[in-house]
Amino acid sequence: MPGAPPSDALLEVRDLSITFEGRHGRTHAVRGVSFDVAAGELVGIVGESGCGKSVTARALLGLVDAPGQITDGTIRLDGDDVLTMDARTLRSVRGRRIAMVFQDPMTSLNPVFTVGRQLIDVMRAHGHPSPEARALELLEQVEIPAPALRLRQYPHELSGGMRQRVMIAMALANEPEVIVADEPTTALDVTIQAQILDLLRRINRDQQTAIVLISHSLDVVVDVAERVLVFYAGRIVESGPTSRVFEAPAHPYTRALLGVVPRPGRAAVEPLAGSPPSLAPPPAGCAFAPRCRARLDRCVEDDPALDVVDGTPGHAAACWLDVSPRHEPGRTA
Amino acid sequence: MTTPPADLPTEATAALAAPLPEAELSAAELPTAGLPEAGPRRSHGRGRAVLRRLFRSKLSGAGVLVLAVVVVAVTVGPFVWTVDPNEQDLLARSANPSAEHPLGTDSLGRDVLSRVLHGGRASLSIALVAVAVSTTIGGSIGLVAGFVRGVTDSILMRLMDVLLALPSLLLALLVSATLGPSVRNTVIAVVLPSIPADARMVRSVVLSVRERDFVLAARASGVRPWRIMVRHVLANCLGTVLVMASVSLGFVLLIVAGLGFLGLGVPPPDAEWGAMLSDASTYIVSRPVVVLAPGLAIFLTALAANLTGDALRDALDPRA
Amino acid sequence: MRALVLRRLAVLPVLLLGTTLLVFVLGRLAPGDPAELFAGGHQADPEVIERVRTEWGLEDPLPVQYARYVGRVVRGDLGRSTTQQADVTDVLGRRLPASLELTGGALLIGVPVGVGLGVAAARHRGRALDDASRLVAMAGASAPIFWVALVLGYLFSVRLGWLPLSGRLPPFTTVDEVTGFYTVDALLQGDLDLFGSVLRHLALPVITLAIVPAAVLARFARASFLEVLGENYIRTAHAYGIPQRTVVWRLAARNAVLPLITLLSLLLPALIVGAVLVENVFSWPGVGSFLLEALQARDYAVVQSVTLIVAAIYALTGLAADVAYAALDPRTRRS
Repeated sequence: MPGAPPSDALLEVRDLSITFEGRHGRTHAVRGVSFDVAAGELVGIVGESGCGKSVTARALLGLVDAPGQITDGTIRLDGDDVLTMDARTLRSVRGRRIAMVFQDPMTSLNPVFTVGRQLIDVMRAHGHPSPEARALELLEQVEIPAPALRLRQYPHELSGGMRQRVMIAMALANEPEVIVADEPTTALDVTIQAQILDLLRRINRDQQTAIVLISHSLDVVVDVAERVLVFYAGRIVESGPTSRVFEAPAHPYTRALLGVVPRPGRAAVEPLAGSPPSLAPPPAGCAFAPRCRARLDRCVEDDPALDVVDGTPGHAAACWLDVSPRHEPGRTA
Repeated sequence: MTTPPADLPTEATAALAAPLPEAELSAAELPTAGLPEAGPRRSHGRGRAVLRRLFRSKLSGAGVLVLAVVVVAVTVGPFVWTVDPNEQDLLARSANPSAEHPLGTDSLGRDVLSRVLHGGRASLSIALVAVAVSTTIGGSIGLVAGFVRGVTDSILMRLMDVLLALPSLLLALLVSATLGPSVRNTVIAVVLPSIPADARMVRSVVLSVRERDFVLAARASGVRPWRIMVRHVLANCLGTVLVMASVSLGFVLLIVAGLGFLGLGVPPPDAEWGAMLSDASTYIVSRPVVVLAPGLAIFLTALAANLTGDALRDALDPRA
Repeated sequence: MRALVLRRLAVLPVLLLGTTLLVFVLGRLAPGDPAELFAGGHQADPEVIERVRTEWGLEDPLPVQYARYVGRVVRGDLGRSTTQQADVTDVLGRRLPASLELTGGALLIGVPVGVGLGVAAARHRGRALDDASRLVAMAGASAPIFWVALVLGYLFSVRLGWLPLSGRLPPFTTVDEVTGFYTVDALLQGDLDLFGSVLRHLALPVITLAIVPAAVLARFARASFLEVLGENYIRTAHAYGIPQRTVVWRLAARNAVLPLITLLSLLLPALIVGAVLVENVFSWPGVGSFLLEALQARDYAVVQSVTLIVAAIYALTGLAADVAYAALDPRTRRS
């Protein structure tokens, strides 16, 4: 590999900035995001819709189309910068070294081709020697019953959960190092959601495939991800081991998110009032300040950087408040 | 989703007929503030916004402009260029362009410029009247069929199907040949095949509008059916009708010219673009410019009408 | 699927019956006495006229005449052409191959050109190529085809002398008619020079008529491809590194072509109208020019028959397109 990676991360995102040119000016959808994903790791990205998480996910595959534009930053996959690759190299990386599972499996699969044909096409694009046999194996791997029959069927003949399994099989087809799953369970029933998440976790464990799981719900991520990144208004406001972030959220936004989702043993706090700020242009200070109940004066003027929380390694938050876990809302010590 | 286009001319307004879907934003994950709202009644600034959008594209602007120029030329032109289109200058037959005859003369020594201007008057006014009549008749049929539904709808639409069973120019040819060539008969011949397309399109809009919430709300609150039809349904069809009319203007113009060309339109000696082409085609070898002038006039006008229709559709469609 | 076909087939006779009625009524409305015309016009012997009238049953009530007309049509008897003094079926049989050769050639050229233009426009949306392609498509749809025929004829025949201006063959040349398609017949004869000559005669009418399908398809292919290229499954294909070429021409094409199939049947009326005008300008001895001659001469048996045949072809293509669409779209195939 040319250019030895500065860290041992498989996927290394640095200062990623993405803007959208629109009728109402330039929207800064992602503003200087940096994070790593280690080989075999399962990382969750959480945030409200519009926080930049899906655009970031797509940027990982170099899939940001006009009017979106990546204005700054690097995305290194095993040391190779995805953003500076020529079209040919990029094509050879997509689906081969990094694959994506989309939110809506109905529209993300082509209605006029059979499941088998679509799986085979994806493998052919990367010169797989025996795509037919592999297709069958893949459907077995994602636990689709009667796989031989399913291969000959069209997407509309499958249930929603089954379609998403096909999408995951497609992602697995060329044995990539990373799978990016963008809201893979949002379009599914609750019971099916759990099964799909379970499948993703198993793939991560059994095959050591790194997974980036994107969701608007902390709840989805908390059960499966080892580490979590909380996005707000185009930035990471908190990151750390899932258990740590969940038990002792350091950023007021994370705390509010946890409060919004009622869980057993956790009393619901007031739901989050207001809505995220416009990012055209972004506010000068902390983007969460207008909705923050613990706002300080400097929050409105200065945007805090991600900083280690309480000396806990790996846990960081972007907040001026020195929040200690004991002040966690809704839980009596 | 891939649905087959229901009808050729329907394409022009399918976008308007369909209920407006939610703006697709998931792709960009942008904040949703400041997006146009798709509502039944438009705000006051809407007219101006439509006008602005009409001239947004150079192509559309050019279409509107050319159409305006043609209309002004054939309306005002004959007052400025007062040469009699039927006067035969026997000393200058098949003459080349000169100061006296800027586009030359035809084989009978008639001034080509004057004939193009007067011919345009005939072609355009026939087309405009035909469009107005067919839009009114077809639109009414569609409105009634779509609003009343049931047996009335079935009978009206089967009637329309029979009219649609023949290509428009063919039907126009039959009608015109049967009734004999005259201005009035040309209008009838052109109107008849245009009606079903208009009726179908308006009906499809009505069918979609009548299921919209504000119509349901009006029905639920006991507003009289005819009032709903006029106030809500008709009001929401107007955009479609406007687009439909401008697109079919180009189409109708071509049929009128086609009839004239085949000698089944406006009878001689009156000038009409299609008929002029037919006269001229016999001496295309010696006088190509005589063929070029009326043909180009038909072409440019039809093109302008089509561009205008397209521009109107885009301008009236809030998604564009 | 079968229900769809059956339903469409059931409507077909009703539609054709409606057309016969329309044509019949128009025929009776037309000025002039058919018996007199058949007998030879104003100077004809009143006795002859009377005989023709009785023979044809022209004195019977109109519904009876109509019923008799429909009965004859059902048996395949289209009547006699007064101008050609021959059975309409025979004349049409001779004329039809010329028209089919012309329209077939126009589709052969026009469809790929139109689809190519439309796809190019869709792939370069909003850029100069898109505008250019849209303008060309719209120009094609706005140009009076008889004028285009005249202009092309003037340019390539009169001015440049590259191509013949009219007819299917040079004067004093004949082809041994086997199929009636001169391209095929010339090849069957093994005469390559003749084949070349047939092609050169075809060139101008075919190119002119090709504008019709090209213009319509360019527009619809653009819309269809734009819609498909915006779909999520195309994004999926890109995300999995499937080459752009494959995405556009194999994956998207399959989705985008489906609606275009139905379009081909809707294109037919424009094509027929175009053929009538083009045949007229280039003196092409097809059904279209036959119809125009018949209209001028008030040869109503011919007019009625041609109208009826056109309506039948039109309805059948519509049916075929619907069936093809249903058969090719996996979403409707099994339901």
